[in-house]
Amino acid sequence: MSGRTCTTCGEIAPDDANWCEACGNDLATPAEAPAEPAYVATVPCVSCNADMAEITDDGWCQQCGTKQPAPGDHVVDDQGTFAVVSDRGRKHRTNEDAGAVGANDQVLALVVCDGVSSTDDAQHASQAAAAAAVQVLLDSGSPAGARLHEAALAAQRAVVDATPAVVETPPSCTFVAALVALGDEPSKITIGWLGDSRAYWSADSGTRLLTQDHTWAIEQRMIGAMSPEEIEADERAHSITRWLGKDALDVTPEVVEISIDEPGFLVVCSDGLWNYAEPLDEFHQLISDTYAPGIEIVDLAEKLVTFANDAGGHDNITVALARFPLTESDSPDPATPDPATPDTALPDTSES
Amino acid sequence: MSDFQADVFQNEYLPAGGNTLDAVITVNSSATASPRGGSGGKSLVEVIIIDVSGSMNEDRGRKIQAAKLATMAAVDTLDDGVEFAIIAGTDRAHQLFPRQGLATADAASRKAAKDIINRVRADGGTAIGTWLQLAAQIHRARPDAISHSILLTDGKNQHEAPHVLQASIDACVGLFQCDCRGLGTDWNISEMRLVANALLGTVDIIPSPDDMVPEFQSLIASAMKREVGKVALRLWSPKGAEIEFLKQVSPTIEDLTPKAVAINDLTSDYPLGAWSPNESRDYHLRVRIPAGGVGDERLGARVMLAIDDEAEPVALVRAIWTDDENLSTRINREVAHYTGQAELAEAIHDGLAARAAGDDGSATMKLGRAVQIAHETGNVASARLLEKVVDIEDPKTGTVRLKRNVAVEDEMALDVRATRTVRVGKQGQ
Repeated sequence: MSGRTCTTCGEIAPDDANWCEACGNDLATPAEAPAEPAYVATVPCVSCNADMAEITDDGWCQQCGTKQPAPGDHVVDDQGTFAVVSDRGRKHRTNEDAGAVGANDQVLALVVCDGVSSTDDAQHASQAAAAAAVQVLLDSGSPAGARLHEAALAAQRAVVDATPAVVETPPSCTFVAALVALGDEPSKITIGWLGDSRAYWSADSGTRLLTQDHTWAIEQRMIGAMSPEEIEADERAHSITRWLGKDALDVTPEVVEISIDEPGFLVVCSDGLWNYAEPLDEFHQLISDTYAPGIEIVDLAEKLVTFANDAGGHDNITVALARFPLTESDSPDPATPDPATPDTALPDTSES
Repeated sequence: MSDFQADVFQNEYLPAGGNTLDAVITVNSSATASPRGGSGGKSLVEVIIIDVSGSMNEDRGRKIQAAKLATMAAVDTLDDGVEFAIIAGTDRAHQLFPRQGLATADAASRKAAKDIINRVRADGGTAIGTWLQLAAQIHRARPDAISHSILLTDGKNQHEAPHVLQASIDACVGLFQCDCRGLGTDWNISEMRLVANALLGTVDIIPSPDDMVPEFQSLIASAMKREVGKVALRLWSPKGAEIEFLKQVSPTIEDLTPKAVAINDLTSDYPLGAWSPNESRDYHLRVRIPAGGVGDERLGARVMLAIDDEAEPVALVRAIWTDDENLSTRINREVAHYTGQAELAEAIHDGLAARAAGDDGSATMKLGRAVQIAHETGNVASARLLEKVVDIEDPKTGTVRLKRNVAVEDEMALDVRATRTVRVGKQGQ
């Protein structure tokens, strides 16, 4: 008997309880299940290229039967020198990852949230969290470190708001956010995170992992009471110890700050990507191999997603990328066309 | 208002390269199922066909007397307003009542019909095709009604060539449904199956004349419950797909595959006949579709119910390709159950055929297997029928011995009722 979590106070109530004993919240009225909106085809069938008119309003091709991708299955936001691509992968039936990016004339923000797939409707949590976090990162006037704490809190509130009134396991997600101050030389990047989504700095000289996963295994390694073999053999090894969600114990992000004085890429991603590029030298190799002179940032992100899908696509994949150096053209203002971006951002290292 | 509701039971996961989908589709009619645009159910047209050939005089007239009583009881069971007719069959078909066309049931018409039935005498041969042709002619006048017939015979179709019977049956398809009953043991199961399969009806044996009255009353009562006529299961399947089979698997096994009527390149209708409110039937669909890649999701079939050519969607049969063997190797419980029930029916059929051919070894093996499945799946009715044909040593292992003296009616009952299935979850001990 798992019980139900009261969404108002967090009390665990019996499955058959109509009211929360602790706060009196009505548990009996289930949240209105939103009616499935009619599927509107905007492109021909992704499999057989049948005309859009052949796509039914429940999203199937009437010729070859292929399920058309849901709106969230592959999400792209291309902002020129920064971009995010989020993909369902090959194994999961829904994309529970979410990414959001944005910039104003002072800062650039990249956020990735990975919905925990053992929870109910985790995609609602991750989408709400990523959107709320970017908003705060762009709008807050606080110093960078404080801004990341504010963003995590805003994301947490958004997740709780998106939690249905009655829920078996409250939706939850990881959180990783990067804030870049524009105009500073050298560039200053501040990262905040909860869980096992990561940020990397990748340059010609090498790739650095900027975050440290909040997982049971890594915490045990730091405690040092168990041998690495014992830790890896434990079934809890890869479970995350920090997250956003109604049932989160602590939503204080871990925050680091780095200075950048060389060309390269800031990579913020979910484990759907990095699981296929471990350890760090493999991740560096992946970026080097995927990079090609003149490649658009969004295409680089797409190629990294394709790499993860080709490797198995066992999880949702989200990659947010920013190219350094950042120039005036990084502003998303469409009135300012992008000048040719330097091809030298990451000198060709594919021979290495 | 939705008249029908369906549930699909399947393992939608296929391994890489997998192309065969199995699904059990349970279709339920609602409590208020009725034809579109009508407040009540459709009217019933009932044409009762009784065999009055010379052989009905056997058993010192008990057969013909029982047939008369049963037909009179059937007439008494008809609600006021039901249109009906009675046909007496020999080597020709005679319309007993009314003289032509249909009568509307009321006190006067019921009395008139019974008076005429009571005066019938048995004499002559058996030509079932002529009986069906006359029934078709009567039913044809009421194309929008629920059209039902009962056909009673006690003998083989001796005075007619098989192709004539077949042609007569073909001419009746879609005009009316026909439940066939054989009295005694001198009739031919295959002939009656031919009629019932084509005309969406049932076949059963009435072993003794004494059983006739309740059987006829119950057939009429069931027919009068039917309110939605001419329902079809409409299947869409994708380009390149092949419907390997569509079988009704509950309450009885009936292969619907050959009955497909193409609607367009990708869609076919399978006639199901008339439905009563609150009725539930199960279907087993096996469809082969072009294999997709790992991670792909496709429809294997879209299941609709068509009533008067208006189709309502009821269920989706899906395919998801995966490299996870834990998912793709699972066998759905309902699919496994009905695969077992089909094997049970086949084992009984093959076992009885082997027994008739004198191949006792094969008969023992097949009927033993049937006993085992009937026991495992809780098909108590089939198990009881099998007990009359074999001595069961151990039902768990299917160890049986053929009985030396088996009553012909017991063997025929087993044969004709072998297709009756039980539903999932009624596991007997």
